[in-house]
Amino acid sequence: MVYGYAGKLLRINLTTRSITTEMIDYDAARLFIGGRGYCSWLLFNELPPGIDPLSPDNKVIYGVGPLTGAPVIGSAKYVIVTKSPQTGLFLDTYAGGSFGPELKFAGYDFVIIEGKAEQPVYILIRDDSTEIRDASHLWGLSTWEAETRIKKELGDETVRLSVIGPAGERLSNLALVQSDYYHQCGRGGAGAVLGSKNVKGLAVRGSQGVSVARPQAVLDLLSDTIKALNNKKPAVERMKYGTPLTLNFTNNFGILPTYNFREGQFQGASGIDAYAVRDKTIADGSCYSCPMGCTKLTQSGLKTLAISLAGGPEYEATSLLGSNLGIDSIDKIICLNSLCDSLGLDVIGAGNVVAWAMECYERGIINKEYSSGLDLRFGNYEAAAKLIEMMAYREGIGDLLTQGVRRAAQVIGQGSEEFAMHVKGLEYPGYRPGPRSPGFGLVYAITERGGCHRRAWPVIEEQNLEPFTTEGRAQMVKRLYDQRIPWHCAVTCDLPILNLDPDHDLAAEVISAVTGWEFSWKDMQDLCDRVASLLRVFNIREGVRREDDSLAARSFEPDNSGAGIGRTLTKQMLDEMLDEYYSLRGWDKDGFPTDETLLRLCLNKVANEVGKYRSSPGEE
Amino acid sequence: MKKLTVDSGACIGCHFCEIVCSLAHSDNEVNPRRARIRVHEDIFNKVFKPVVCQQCKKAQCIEACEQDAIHKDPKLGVPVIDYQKCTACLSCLKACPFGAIFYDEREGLPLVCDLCGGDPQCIKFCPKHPMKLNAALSYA
Repeated sequence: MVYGYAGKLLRINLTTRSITTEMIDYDAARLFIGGRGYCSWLLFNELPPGIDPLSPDNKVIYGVGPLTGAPVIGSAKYVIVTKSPQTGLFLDTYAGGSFGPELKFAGYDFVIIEGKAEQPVYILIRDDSTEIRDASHLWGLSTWEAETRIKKELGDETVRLSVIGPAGERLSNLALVQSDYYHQCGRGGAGAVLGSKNVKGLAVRGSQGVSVARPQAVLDLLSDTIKALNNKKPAVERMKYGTPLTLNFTNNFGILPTYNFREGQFQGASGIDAYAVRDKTIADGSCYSCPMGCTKLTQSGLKTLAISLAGGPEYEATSLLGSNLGIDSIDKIICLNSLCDSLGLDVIGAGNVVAWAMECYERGIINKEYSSGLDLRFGNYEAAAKLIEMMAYREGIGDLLTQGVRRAAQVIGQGSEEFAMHVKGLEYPGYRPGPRSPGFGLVYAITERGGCHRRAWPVIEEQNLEPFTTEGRAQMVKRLYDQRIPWHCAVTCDLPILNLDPDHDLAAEVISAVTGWEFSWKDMQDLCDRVASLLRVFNIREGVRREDDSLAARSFEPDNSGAGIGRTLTKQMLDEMLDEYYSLRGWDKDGFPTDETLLRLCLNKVANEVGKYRSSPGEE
Repeated sequence: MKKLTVDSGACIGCHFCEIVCSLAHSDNEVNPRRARIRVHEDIFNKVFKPVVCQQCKKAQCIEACEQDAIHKDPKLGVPVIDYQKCTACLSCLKACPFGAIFYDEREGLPLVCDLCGGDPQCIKFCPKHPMKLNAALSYA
């Protein structure tokens, strides 16, 4: 028996309304573990290249892993894997809370949603019973209202939900999927893919458990981890303040996005930092199986919204809805965060688009007529709030902006592409890559879902490297990227464990103790290389080439603040880092995994596939 | 007699108590729906309340049982259910004023805290969050 897994995959075809259960493939599970790895393998095999992400041809795969629900730190998460409408590429996006464990307790490791329902529906999974239920009365509700209404109509407070808001219903590229009110699969527009299938959400309630192979070993590891976290100052600070602590650091370092990434330090930083967030915190909450309590429930002092609560604001909200918009009031940021969450918009994407629109407005590229009468100056909270609503409901200029900053800049033009901050269509998170942080540039450039900070986070480590050079960056980024992959496959939250700088031995030990399979350091490293190469080929199939591994034009301008002032991150530096990174991965100069690499990683089928996309020598 | 006490204000909703309890009462399975302690939660407002047997002096669960299937453990002060006699009528569950007798969703039987024989496992994993004065569970 293999422990940890539920052993089943649920397939729901909304077009035919068929619901089937399949056994999971344990051979694939050994290679990909679960979560990010296994779901990617499913998507690679089941999704033909070139399909429209918002058509019934796309699939939404919900996944957990063998550690989900088990007594392991942060075993609360689930992943959604799909083809992103925003980037047209691979997307994995995660949320905590308790939905992931509940899916496992209902008896499933994976749920594949295919086709399109004729009318709005939601999917109710209760152990062996799955229903496609009418959701016409829920369509139009905010994420929060939808969760509350479904619980009420089922008469069950313990049911766990994963829902979209009005933005998802209207197919916004910035649409999120939300669980347990304050936990979001934020990035890449997964909410729009559910919306395109007429799915308001999933409701899950299970009564089965998760079995672990060596309970005492698992409990000992858990106990050791909790002790280690309590003895680690940064971890304890994280428990107190959550992610907003990052702002104090990025501001000092000069990489805090400010005025649409034009600057890297914000004058009003002290009003929106970790201490400001703590001051507004009314409750600390944890996800399932985690002692961190890093969800800070905050209440805004402003009375402009009916509900002005936020699960956060996280650092990304304080930076992208704060400094990046020139807003220096934490009360206002909480309200903007609250709006985004309830309407179902990603705060990172929304913050970027609003900042870009503000810069267009200040430069005269967008006038008041075009902005539907909004005075889009930096710092104007009321205009930002209105614009967020218009994006969710696709009203006026919101109809364009909600497609994301890449599309908006393509349509508006007039040089606005130069300051549209995205990679591959996904907006930048809260770190400004630049001469002092070229490693962050590499992270954005190579992350398969686009501009993202959640696959490797070099902020601290990069300080110890020779500044203004590319030295050591590729190795650092690969190490940090690989450090997370086992946890993303297993599936647990990476935030608590990363405080302990875990190596593959720890991941192998925990996954072995839960599953009963024996994994080694090398197995974990192979897993990382396998997942990275598989995702690379997925994206190659969708058209990604080396030139797409780049950055927004603004990131190549001379820096004007902080430690990098007067210096420039050049395209040549990025090229050097890419060469080195590709080579470390076993990819060729064009970023194609070599046959040798793919065969070594047991990806024979992928090797057959990738050959079709290599340009033949005569072609160039 | 030692008592398992709950400080709801200190609970952050991690569910470690349910996780560890269910594992302690099974060979190798974690299943919060079979735990003998449960965290009631209002997740929108982030209000958490662990619920567990209060070791009543005059236990209403015992009085409600028509099968005489429940007696009090003289050393630990918790009710003990004799599953040979129990007919799963669940009157104990309804009688408990604290809602501290739970329903085992797999077996269809009532469940109550047994203090793990005097060494409750849940308190070992109940974390003390740095913003709280103490952990939510204690046994003294």
